Amino acid sequence: MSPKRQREEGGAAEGDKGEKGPKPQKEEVAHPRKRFYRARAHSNPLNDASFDVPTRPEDYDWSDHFPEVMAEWRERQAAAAGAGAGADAPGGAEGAAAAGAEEAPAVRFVDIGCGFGGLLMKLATHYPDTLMLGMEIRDKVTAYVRERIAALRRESPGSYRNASVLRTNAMKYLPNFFKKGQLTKMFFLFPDPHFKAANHRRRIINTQLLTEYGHLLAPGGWLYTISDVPELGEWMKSKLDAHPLFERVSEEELAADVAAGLLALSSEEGQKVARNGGATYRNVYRRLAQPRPQ
Amino acid sequence: MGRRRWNKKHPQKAEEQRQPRPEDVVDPPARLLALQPNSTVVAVAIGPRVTLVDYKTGEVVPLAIPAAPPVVATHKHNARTQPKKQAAPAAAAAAAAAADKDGAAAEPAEAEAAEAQAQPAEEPSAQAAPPAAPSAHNGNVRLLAFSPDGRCLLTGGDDKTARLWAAPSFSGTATTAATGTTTSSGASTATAAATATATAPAAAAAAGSISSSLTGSSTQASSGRGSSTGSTRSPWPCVAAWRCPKKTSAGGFSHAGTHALFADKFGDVLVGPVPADLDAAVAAATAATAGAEAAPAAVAAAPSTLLGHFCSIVTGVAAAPCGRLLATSDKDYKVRVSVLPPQLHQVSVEIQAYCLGHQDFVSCIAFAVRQPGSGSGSGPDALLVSGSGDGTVRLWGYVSGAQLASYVASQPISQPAAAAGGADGGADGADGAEGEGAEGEEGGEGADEEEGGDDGAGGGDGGEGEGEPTRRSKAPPCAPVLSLAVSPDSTTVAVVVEGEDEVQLLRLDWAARGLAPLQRLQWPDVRYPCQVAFGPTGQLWVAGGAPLPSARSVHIGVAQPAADGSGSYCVCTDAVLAPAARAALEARVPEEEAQMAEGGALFAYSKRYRKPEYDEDAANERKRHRADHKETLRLAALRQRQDAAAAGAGAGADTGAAKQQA
Repeated sequence: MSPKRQREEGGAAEGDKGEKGPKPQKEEVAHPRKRFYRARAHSNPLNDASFDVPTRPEDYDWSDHFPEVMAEWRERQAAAAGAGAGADAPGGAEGAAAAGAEEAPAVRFVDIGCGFGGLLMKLATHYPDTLMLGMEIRDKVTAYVRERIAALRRESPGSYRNASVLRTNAMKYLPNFFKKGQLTKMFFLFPDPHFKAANHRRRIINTQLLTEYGHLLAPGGWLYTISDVPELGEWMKSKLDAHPLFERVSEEELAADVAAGLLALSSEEGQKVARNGGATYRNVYRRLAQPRPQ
Repeated sequence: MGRRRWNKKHPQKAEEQRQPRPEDVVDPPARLLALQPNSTVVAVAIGPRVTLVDYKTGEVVPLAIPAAPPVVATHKHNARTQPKKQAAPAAAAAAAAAADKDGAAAEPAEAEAAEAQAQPAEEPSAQAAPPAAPSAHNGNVRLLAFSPDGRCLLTGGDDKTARLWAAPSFSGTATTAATGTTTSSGASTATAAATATATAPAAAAAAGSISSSLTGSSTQASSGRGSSTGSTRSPWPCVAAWRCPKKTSAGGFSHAGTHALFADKFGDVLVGPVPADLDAAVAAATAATAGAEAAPAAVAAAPSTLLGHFCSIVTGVAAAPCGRLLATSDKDYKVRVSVLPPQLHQVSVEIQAYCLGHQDFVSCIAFAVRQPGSGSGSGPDALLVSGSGDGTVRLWGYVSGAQLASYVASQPISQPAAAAGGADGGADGADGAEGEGAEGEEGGEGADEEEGGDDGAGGGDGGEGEGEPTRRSKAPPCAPVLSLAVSPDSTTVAVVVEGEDEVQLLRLDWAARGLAPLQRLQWPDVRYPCQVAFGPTGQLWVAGGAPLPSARSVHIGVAQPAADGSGSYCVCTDAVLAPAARAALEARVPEEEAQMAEGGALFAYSKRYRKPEYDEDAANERKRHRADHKETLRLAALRQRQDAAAAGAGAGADTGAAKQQA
């Protein structure tokens, strides 16, 4: 068997997985195997396909994605309501915190075009208290990320419960999922370059969509992009520079930031680029509180 | 085998399966209606034709349409982009000019065309004289709006251009063709008054004074004019034209009237400046010098992009009365309120709020400005009203995006079509079923006012009429709201539902911030209304006609508030509209009338806003055979086994009794 296949089969050659025959049984691998979920890299974002999109962000039930987190929050709400009904003046920490109707946990990080979910997995361990969501338009790949998250949640109970994936067209339906100023980080890793000039309007970083991203990012939120195509890197830099709501983050701050360090190598696309020895072009921008004068 | 090889091997099958290109799809023509805010001119557009008529005097105000330039020799491969069946030769020649790959060649040709007008409107073209006069646009007109001061008319159409036509003189008196003499006193005071107030409803107050001054001047002019044969009004030249990347779908003016906004089918909202000095622009455009250099105002310019809804047809553009915000609606169920930049040629970078709540495409939006004296003082001064394909009309506080009220204008179809009136006997199955359902219910039920209660009206999803393909909007199928208009005093909202002959009038309650049904008004001679507009004096105008994909007819009707002050409206078409004016505006084509009696393809207007329907079952079937499906099932089974084992082990550990679960 090829080394990669052996890796995927969970190192079954070592034979410490319990009772099985000489051939590694498929039953033993609890993680989804990527070769079943391969899909072509390009998907037209202009397609008018049907996505299950909520009418408003308030209408969406996040417990499908983050069951444990939402359940815990609801317990806290119920406990606080019970404590509040008991009319305790000193209130304790929980009562005081929840007396102001503690906000529902909301998604703060969004990975747009998350692919096979490499960045999400890394971020989930680095920021265990922040809810993060990956958005992907391809059906098969979303299924892979969903299975992988489920498998990781089982393997290490208590971790990875803050990450989830959603299949939707992020260019059209972001305002349906998130309220104004809800996100603190947005990631665009190796987006589709759309080389032809007629297709430039489909690039995920363009002036009109930057206005929408600025609406969803909280002031001070960061927008991370990285690409291995030099022309696309230039394009994204010029669009972001030209948009009055965004300002470039300095290199010192980038060096200190955990997420920025993960950009190049965490996703599968990034690993492929590194294998081929390509250069990457990273552009990270901060959302200003007030737009610059144009 | 690869796709190309298969196509070569099966040419007929390839031809059948070939999807139409998005730009080749021709949507049915729209009937549009607009009223000049401070005078008695009404503009009606059907297909490529735009007609302006002063309904008080009955005379036609011509638009100075550029005559066809001599045919420009085109390359052979440009023949494909020629429009297939446009009657007017101006279409062919202008399309030849537009089809030039070289942009520089197109501009002088078009400038030449704009300038080659010596005489008003109907000029015989260079080629064989067509039966119809050259039309204002080469494709169907989709956008028709007057500027807030009434001086300009913005039209946009399927030929991917937007044009601005300006009145030669504000009072519209007859002028010599060469120079536009303006009654300067009348024009300046009127313009100053109009721009000072700058809200269309508020202009109603000023309109009273303006119209009196206009009638004064027009009576003077008419006495000077003599007989009214021919066109005694000087034509409105096209003072500006802009190229849109895609077909224009909606538009309007900025609140102050300084910029024209138009949106296209891709979702970009574009801005073109209205020439500040309109008199000079008009004079330049009407200068009858054939070989002169291009007047800068008439060259097809590139507009600047203001904002964009990504890949959704923008259906409505409305400027907020505060002047700072702009509301745009699209077919992806969203209404977006954006902050306008200080200079309108810049990009809008901030979004104020999204008004989310509609379950289907939003077809029309309008602002209602509270008039002084109507209702108590608290609450916002302006509200946004929107109508949508889910049959509701909603009221929004647009600054926060909160939905204030929702009114169900058309009930969801809840039962299959029973035997209905003979009007739709011959309709095709699905559309006829929807139309019959709607018509059958319009008499029966009254309209209710619900606070978002229609969100839960999924129960109406049961019977969908025979042959109706699965709809992908979240709402159950119902007749969409096509158009709405807010009266100048902002107390009444007129709503048109596609397929119904009655226009619903709602009372807008400012104190309670709600909508209540007031009246259902039907005109005896207007069938299938599709557009309503309020005139500056509070009259309600309606345009309708057979909803056929190739319709060429327009019916016009007028209603005015009843004199008894009850707020209800009564039909008064004949009283207001002189027969000559009516004949000029309307176009009744006998074949279409006959076809309408048997029932046409209803819902032709809103088809282009609906998403394409895909077969869910076939898609699920395909997914079952995909490679990842088996893997997903295997993992799910594995997890179930692990759960069972864990539960068994946990129970065993907890209770000490071994519980084996299968």
